[in-house]
Amino acid sequence: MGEIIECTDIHLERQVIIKRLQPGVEQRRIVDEQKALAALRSKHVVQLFDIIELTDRGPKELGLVLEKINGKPITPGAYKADKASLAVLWQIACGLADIHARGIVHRDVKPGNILIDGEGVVKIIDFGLARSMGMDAKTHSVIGTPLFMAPELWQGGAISFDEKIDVYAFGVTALALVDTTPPTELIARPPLPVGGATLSKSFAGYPAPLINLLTSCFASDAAKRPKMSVVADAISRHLLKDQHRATVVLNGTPNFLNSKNRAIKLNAAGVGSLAIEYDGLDFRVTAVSGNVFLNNTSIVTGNVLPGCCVITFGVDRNRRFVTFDVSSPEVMP
Amino acid sequence: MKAGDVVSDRYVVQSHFASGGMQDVYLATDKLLNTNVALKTPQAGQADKRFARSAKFAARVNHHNVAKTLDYVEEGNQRFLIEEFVVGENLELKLSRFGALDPHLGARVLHHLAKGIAASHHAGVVHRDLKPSNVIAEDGVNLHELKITDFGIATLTEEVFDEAAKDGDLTRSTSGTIRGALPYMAPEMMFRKPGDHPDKPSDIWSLGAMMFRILSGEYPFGVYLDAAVNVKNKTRAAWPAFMTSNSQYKPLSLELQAVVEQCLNYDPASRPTADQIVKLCGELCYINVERHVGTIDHFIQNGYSGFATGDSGTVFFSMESAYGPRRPDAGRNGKIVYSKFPGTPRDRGHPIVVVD
Ligand SMILES: Nc1ncnc2c1ncn2[C@@H]1O[C@H](COP(=O)(O)OP(=O)(O)OP(=O)(O)O)[C@@H](O)[C@H]1O
Ligand SMILES: [Mg+2]
Repeated sequence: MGEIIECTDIHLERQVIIKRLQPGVEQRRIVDEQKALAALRSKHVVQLFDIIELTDRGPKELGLVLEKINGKPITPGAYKADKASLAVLWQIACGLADIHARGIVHRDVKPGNILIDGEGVVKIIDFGLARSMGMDAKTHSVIGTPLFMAPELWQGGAISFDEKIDVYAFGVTALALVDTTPPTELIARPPLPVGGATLSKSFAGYPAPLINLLTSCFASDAAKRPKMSVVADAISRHLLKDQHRATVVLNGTPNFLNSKNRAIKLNAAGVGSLAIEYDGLDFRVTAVSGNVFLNNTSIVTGNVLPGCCVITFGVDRNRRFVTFDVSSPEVMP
Repeated sequence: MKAGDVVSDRYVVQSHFASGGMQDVYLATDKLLNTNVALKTPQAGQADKRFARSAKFAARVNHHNVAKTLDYVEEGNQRFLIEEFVVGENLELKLSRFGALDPHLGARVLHHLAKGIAASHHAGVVHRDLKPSNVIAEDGVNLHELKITDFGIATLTEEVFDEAAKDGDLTRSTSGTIRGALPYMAPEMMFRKPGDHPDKPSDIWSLGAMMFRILSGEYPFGVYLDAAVNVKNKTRAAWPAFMTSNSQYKPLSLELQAVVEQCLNYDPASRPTADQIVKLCGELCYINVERHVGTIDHFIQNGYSGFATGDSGTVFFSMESAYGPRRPDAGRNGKIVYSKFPGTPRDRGHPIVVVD
């Protein structure tokens, strides 16, 4: 995927990377895509500073001048299936969601192309640099690591693919973080459908809904793989587990519901009562009697509170109001 | 410089964007990458030779809460710094519209600023001129993307400061830049002697002073010379009552006030580091849901609640959600900002903050 030259920008006295582009039909696409990425300005995409002509090897070649990331690629097997690795997966998913929203496919998602910089920010490198996949079998080896290639890429002839190949590769990357021995199905060429039970073992430390979502990234049918933005949202929700706070104002005094104080019972004498419990992700109605409304909507046991709401007890003149506001820390890279 | 001028055969000036105390800022197009960039050039008579050094400082910081330094060009006897162009408006302009930010939005601003400052401190770069006009957020009422600019000016400012300090009193400086910085300037910077080099903690004071203004709408120590006198005499403005008068907002307001008070410690060594503030912010609970603008239609229930309509539809709100120095009404204080939460038949708006 082109040679890398480490250089110093003598004007700004900082380190940059020059990436030599291989000549060929792909060069134009790569340059256009790099420009589109520069315009996107995602915090997970490496900054492109310049496109230059290199002549050090004789004929003119194109070089991309890129920001040098002070960081290391994520290491397969170095993580446990816990919150720390989820935070990394969340950032990768955010970065891929950013570029997919612009119609760009990475094509070579794998741990070696994912760096964590000194500030803990995930940077995805080598966007679009992998060769087009509609080539003969011999060129397959230059695309990248076969393990990360979605089944549709193994078909012969002209292959059409979309951003779902990145979703598949994201799934394999997630697996590689926590487990360096991939199931035999994934090693097969082309890869075979892998059972949920097999993956669940490696992902065992993650919450069940996320295991299901990660497993769906491996679907042989590209259409069944989730969008990266859906994955990012689901992970961020779980990253906030047990960190929400509901502020319930009763007679002018704020009461808090959180991981230390999970349940509250509100009683409006004669008109109704309501019990709410925090399960770590949502605030849920566990019991209700009489006339109780949330943001004017009638409720039943099991309902999830809609973020911030006014709880109304009773109807007409007897009404009493309680405000219930849900807040949480912000998930940030 | 005028529209159409080309720098380095690459950057085409579109328009003059703004001028600060030391530099002119132009909006330009990068012909090569097809992006907009900010082109900064020192004003005549400014410490020209330091401009390059400033650029190098700025270039060391690489974080999404700091405007990226892209290029530095010397052409003829002119110097240019090329920076990522941040679409939006600076916090000074936001404040003129908001007055004060509610604690939920304020917490968000603090969190992002602390992240950007932490990254620059890790790179060994002290900003020295943190103030609302050096923070840019996207247009509109959401402050999702915040970027600090002018890290590059750090050394320039230092030179201006050094010269002013030589004259004996920084606070009497006629430099526009110093006047703009005074309300947020740390005491050890204000009353420095030549050769003193206030370090990272001075940025933390500035962050605290800036957050005081953002949360209260007031300058903590006043402006111009007042700022110097008040900092010296330790007479800081009191927190406004509206921050804590509503029980719903009081807990978060108090948490934020505590952070700001720590930043405004007169002993630089006793101030928290940017990393410590980032950590504190990581534990703050705030409502981080998209904001909308609407106009109040009418009130019901004897003014206890009402309806407002914006481009995202009509919401119901209760006056208990109102926050800020101005009370929402159907007249002059009829323009409000709020987040939306599902309800029947209308969504609920909360928090409710009057804006211009
Ligand atoms: N990279 C950028 N993208 C968009 N706007 C910018 C950028 N850098 C600066 N600006 C805006 O340009 C204006 C002028 O900036 P400048 O730093 O010269 O002056 P200032 O901060 O207002 O005052 P001072 O000279 O005292 O620092 C400011 O409103 C600032 O927000
Ligand atoms: Mg400025």
